[in-house]
This record gives sequence, structure tokens and C-alpha cells, in this order.
Amino acid sequence: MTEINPVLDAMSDIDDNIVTNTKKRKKRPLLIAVAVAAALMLLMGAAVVNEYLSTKDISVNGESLFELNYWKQENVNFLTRGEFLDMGAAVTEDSGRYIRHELETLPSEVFQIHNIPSLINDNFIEESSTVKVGYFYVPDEEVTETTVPEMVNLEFPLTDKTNGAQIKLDVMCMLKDDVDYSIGIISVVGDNRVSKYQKVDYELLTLNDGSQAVIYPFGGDTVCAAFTYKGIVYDLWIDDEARDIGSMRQVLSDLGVL
Amino acid sequence: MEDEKITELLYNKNERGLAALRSKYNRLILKISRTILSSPEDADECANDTLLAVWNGIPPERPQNLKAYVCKIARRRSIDKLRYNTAAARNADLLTELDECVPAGFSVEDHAEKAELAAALSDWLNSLDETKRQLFTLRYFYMESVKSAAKSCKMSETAASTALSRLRENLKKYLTERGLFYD
Repeated sequence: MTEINPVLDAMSDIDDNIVTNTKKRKKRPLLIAVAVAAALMLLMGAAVVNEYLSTKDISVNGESLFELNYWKQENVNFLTRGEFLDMGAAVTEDSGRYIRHELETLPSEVFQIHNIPSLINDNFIEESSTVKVGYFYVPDEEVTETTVPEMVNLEFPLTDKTNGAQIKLDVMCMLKDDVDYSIGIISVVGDNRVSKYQKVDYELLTLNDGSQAVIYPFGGDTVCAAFTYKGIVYDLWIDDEARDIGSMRQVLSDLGVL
Repeated sequence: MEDEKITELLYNKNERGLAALRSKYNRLILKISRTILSSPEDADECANDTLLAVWNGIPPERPQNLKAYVCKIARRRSIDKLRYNTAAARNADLLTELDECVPAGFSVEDHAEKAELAAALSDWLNSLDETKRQLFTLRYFYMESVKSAAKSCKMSETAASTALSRLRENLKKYLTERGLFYD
């Protein structure tokens, strides 16, 4: 008899309301939700950062703040499965269209191997850690050892020397044109069951390459940032209730993007 | 027929209740089973087992939410099938994804521990925003493919994969803080 993962097993006994309130959305619900949200915001004076509104658009109050200006990266290397395994990587996810490897190494080495420009500099402590490397492929495309991924994403930790913040970074490089990617921006703060639309104290910054960044809190104990810098998408978060927007602003400054 | 009426008929062992149950929920039960199991024959067998289990379970049970009751039984029957043959899974990769949160070898020994884990999962799911809750539930309760779950949540597949990865990490942290899992 095969052991079934206990979480997968226990999902059979979750609250009934979760089971029955999960339903397929009707067509164009996001536009409806945005209209409702906008109406509510006018009434309540709340600010909502729209989630998954489009592939590039980051909006607040129904108005676009900026576009994630990502573009196709040239000369990025990607590894075959065999090359990953030779490096000691483990395959932790393989759905055919999305393959994730994990390896214990310095994050900067992974950037180097892939020929992706790195923002890691002397302002940060970089340690050998678990670096997750994900390759996303076009849906319905037959994936072989030589198929170029649509997107490469690297996920890794850093510590900011200036303020000691422990940061998690998710760097996303597009390798093909017109990649359909939506970055997740959280739209609510606090208890969803109490009030769906609560104010988000976000901060909007202009980076030194002309693009923009948004910093925002998530829940009570995480602060996040999202931006593109020279065509590459960055998603950062700090899981520490003692950290705030100012902490993340310092991180962006130390990355050299401000 | 309304669920309350069906439940009442089943509770009174009236076979009209079984007919109404089949009429209203057979399609959903089959959908759940066929999503989890690759073999149509296995899925059909699970669907029939589900209807029988509902008939046998009411009474003594009297579910407040018949739809959830039916869905859960269909899911459990299908998962039980997988215990004996993981090759029967339609989405085989899904069986190991949650090992990031709790390894498959980690033992949840008794009914109380299982109930505690389920309660923790419910609390965690209820703390998520609607989209993430829906995405996680579609993937790990209804066991849909990432593509299908992404489509339901109006997300790109890549965004859904990333969101699910983050959610698994967040869940692991939550279960650890709650003392249910030790890293």
C-alpha cells in the first residue's frame, strides 16, 4: 500500500464551506470584480491593489500605477535535466510544462551559469543555500531536452548587511516574446472575512532605469516589493513583522536600483 | 430538488432520495473521480461506491451541507484507490507536490491527529484571499491540473504554478508554527 501525503489526505476533511464555495468563475469576472471593487472603494475610501488584472499592469483604485516592463532576455543559458543532476540538483516539481530543480549553492553561481545579470552585491550576505530554479514552458508545447523555456525563475534568500533583513527573492527572466505572466500582488490586508477591501499602505518608487516599483505589506508579518529592472521581473518579500516599507526601501537601495 | 429535501428522504431511507441524489450529483461525483483517476472504469466504480456510501451513511449522519458531504466521500474513495495503485493517478505529479509541506513518510497516526491537521488546513485556507484559496482548493481538494485550476482562477499557468509554490511554502511555515510539523 502506498503512503498518501497526509496533507493531501487531510484535505478531504476541510471545512464544507471551502469545498462548496470553490467554483469555476464565469467569463470576465475580473472586470466585474474590479467594477464592484471600484464602487466599494468610492464608498469606503479604501485602496485596493488589483491582483492578476493583466499580465503587466499594476493598478490601485482601478487606475494603472505602472506596467511591469519586462522584455525578452538574450543569451540566457538553460540546463538540461542531465546537467542539473550532474550538479547535484534535485527535481522537486515536474508537471511537464513546469519543471523545478533545487540545488544547494551560492545564488550568484546560478545567475552566472544561466548568464542572467545579478543584483547581488557586497551590500548583501550570500550563503550557500537552497536555490530553486524553475523552467516554464509554453502550454501544449512538446518539451524536449533542447526546448527553450518561456521563462526561467530563480528563487533564493539574501541577507541585507545594512538592516539585517532576511529577504526572499524571486527573479523571473522571459526568454520568449509575449510571455503571459501575471505577478501576484496581494489585494487585501487583514481578515478577509471581516472586510474584503482594506487600505494598503503601498509606496511607489521610480528606479534608476526609469521603471517603477511598488512596496506593500502583506498580512501582518510580511512586506513585499515588485518591479522590473532592465527587463527582468523581481518579486521580493521579507517575512518579519518587525520589517516595514522602509526596510524594503533600504533593500532596494542596497540592490542598487534606486 | 433541494439538498435539504434529498437529505430528509435519505434519512428516512426513501429510495426517491437516492434517485434524486444520483440525478443531482452523479455528474459532479464522476467529475471528481475522473479528475483524480486515470481509468474511466476505476472512476465509475468510485462514483458508484460514493452513492452507496452516501446511502449507507445517512442515517446516522445528517449532513448540513450535502454537496460537500458528497464531494468529500467521492474524493476519499478516489484517494483510497490511489493508495493501492499510484499509477492510477491522472495527475501523478500532484501526489508528491505537498511533500514540501509535510513529507509523505511523516505519520499522522490517529484520528485526532488527522482531525487536527484538517482543522489547521481549514484555518489556513480561510486566512487566504479568495483567489489563492480557490486555486489551492481546486488543485489539492478537487485535484485539477494546474492548467485547469489556473483557467478557473483567471490566471496564466505560470502564475498559478508560482502561486501554488508560494502557498506550499507558506503552508509549511504555518504547520510548523502550529506544531504539526517539525522540520
